[in-house]
Amino acid sequence: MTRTRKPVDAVVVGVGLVGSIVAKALVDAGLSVVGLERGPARDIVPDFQAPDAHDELKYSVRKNLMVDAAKETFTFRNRPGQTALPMRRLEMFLPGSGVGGSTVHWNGVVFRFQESDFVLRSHLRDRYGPNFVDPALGIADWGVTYADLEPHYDRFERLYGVCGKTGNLAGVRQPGGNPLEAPRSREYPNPPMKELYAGRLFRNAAESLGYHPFVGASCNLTRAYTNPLGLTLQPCVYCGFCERYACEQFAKASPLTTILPVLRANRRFELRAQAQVLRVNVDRDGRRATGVTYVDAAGRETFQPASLVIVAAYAVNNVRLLLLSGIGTPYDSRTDTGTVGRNYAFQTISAATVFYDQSVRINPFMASGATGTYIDDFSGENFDHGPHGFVGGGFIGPLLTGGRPIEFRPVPPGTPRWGREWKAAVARHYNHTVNILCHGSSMPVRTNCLDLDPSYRDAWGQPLLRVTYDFPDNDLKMSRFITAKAMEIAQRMGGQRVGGGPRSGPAMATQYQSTHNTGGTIMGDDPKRAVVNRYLQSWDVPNVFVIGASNFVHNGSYTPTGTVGALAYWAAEALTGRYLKQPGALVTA
Amino acid sequence: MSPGGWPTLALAGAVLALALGPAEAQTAGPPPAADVARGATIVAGSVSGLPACASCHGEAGDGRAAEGVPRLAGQSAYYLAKQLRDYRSGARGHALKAQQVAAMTEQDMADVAAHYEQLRAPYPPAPARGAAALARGQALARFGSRSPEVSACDSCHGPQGQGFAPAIPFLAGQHATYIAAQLRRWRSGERRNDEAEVMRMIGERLRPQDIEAVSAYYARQRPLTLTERP
Repeated sequence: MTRTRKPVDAVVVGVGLVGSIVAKALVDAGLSVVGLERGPARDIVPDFQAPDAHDELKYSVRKNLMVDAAKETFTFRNRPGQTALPMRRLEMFLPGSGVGGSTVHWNGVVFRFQESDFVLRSHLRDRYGPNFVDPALGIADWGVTYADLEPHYDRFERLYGVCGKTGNLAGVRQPGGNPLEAPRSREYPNPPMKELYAGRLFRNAAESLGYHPFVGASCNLTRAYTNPLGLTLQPCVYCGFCERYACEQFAKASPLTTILPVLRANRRFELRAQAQVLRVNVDRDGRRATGVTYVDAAGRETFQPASLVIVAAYAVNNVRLLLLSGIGTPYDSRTDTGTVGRNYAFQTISAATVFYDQSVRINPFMASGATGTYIDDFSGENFDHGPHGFVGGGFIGPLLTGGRPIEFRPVPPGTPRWGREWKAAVARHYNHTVNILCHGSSMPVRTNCLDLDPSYRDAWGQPLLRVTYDFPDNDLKMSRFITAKAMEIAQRMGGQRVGGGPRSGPAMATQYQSTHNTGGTIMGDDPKRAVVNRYLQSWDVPNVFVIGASNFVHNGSYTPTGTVGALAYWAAEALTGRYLKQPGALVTA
Repeated sequence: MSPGGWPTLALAGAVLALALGPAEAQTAGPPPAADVARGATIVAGSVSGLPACASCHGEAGDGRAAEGVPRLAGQSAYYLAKQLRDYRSGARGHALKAQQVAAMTEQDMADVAAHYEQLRAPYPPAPARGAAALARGQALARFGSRSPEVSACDSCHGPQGQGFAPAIPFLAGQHATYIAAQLRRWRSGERRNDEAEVMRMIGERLRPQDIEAVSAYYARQRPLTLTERP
């Protein structure tokens, strides 16, 4: 027996980065909003204070902030035709669960995408000619431009207090920043983090090769900062417990520190935690959402009527919710038709590792989740792909995030995997090793897609999302190219030896790369391919907006969070500025 | 593993980072090798031209609760030497201390600091306090506060204020008068030798009654032994 709650103007599914921004915009516009979060309510105080906050076994190994895979998980296979198996422990990527979402446990690394990313198909055609792009790649223009999103990137960066130094202020080069970044209308709101010693070693080597190293932008704060909502973030102490942890110092930007205290104080907003959304309810002709059905903390199935539904869950869970709700046409990779589940992409991570003698002390434990020095010379369209035969790239550089003792055990190739020699090697190399990250892009292909698993179900009896993914040839080529550049720099960093190598297939569900899942509800001007229009409004059900990294048409060379924040503000503006004035389709197909 | 069951390497990270900042940690030269016995001689007032630390801080290094003179026995040598340098440079402003340490060399400071680190001193009974104040102090120490927004003191100062050597001083058993006076100095900006203004920001947020409560709580804590857990 489903109970029905009092109708509200809007329901937001997922109270994370996107949900909090959009809900705030809607309550400010006068709407009554219910936020449904599958995970628990929590806050910096008292839930995330040390010593418990720094329990590596609890948070890194047992993944306390992540969704409980015993209740809800994903199945995985490399290609259609295989039988997918469930991920019984999350390893490949780590979606958070709980108020604040995955941004509570993120690193804090933040980038903008390139201007070319949003018009990638047109850009590649114009730059390299009509026959350059492998037709197997599902590259398309996004339906928005960088110029459209720039003010929204800016708003997000003010909200989160991003710390960095621009190298491109409205097209004018600035010393000390990344000269290759997309033009910014304003300087970052806060100065960049300190450069680690590993970063300095990398910088020197990269400069000797003519590259352009810079300290990456961070959402771990470098000074006290009061954001436009009047909430104050505090400075980071470089304790090295960021990713997979919440920050006890109020120093990491997340919904908990930047927006929720204000949102929750608004009486038009109601937060319901431990609310597992089962589906978006749609009326008989499938053109209008009537609300959402969820299971509340007491296990009661509940219908929440609403005039507007915002799907703002973790990227690929947006896809799953649409599939479970029958909104949009499921993508069929055999025929390349349908929309929901199309253009799933991930990240193509590789590394070069420099092993030093014991005179070089790296002190990897002094770090934040975003203390990196990078080069952007081989990201996206920052270099000429003409001779190389692939699309995409990646930023390169050491991103040391804490050297935590259980998980950080670099040893040179050839070291035994266990036993006395392994232990000796761990002790020998712990403080004398630098990992250089190659953060590679991920291009969509037909066979990488998302759908509902035919066999496995979650604790609520609903089919799991099936992830079908392997590295496209394009991305493996890209990885070989950028990893070779990283190895070249690594050779100049003064170590005794260099290890590492490019990414190779097959993709494995047991190997962590990043939590940067993208696509599946892509945005675009063509309703036959895209799930949402340029305002992130469902092409099929106009009172449903789907927002997040699931809108990405491909995954760029960067971390996705900045672009997700920009898209959230972009959609919020369309909602309050256009949709609420005249509810209905904002774009005519 | 250290007494609280914490991974030692992780502790070192939090601590060094605060004190030095990542890049400087590499470039700072090795500290002078310390001579504990010479440190004891200086403290006792037997080295001409140098202050007799013991005359205020006590022969046992237990300080003076009534006057707010801190307990130094068992304090991290790294931390103590840094404070001495900061007095000398003015980074930790204090007219009398600046005068007292003016003649001390790096070596003197290292020796004195090393001497105090290995000293052990008895604890006087902590002054009586109301249960409500102690409960508030404990809550701030262990869980912090949402409003005002303050993270748990133990997050950096260790379980029950044990300290994280080298850079973060213990609070357990420190005189409440001294802790409270320092928090007020952070608050007023008289003391400003913290990294990234972390302690100044905390001082600014704490209300006077919070300062009294948390100081009283820490004064009653004691070093943990290997068999105890927080």
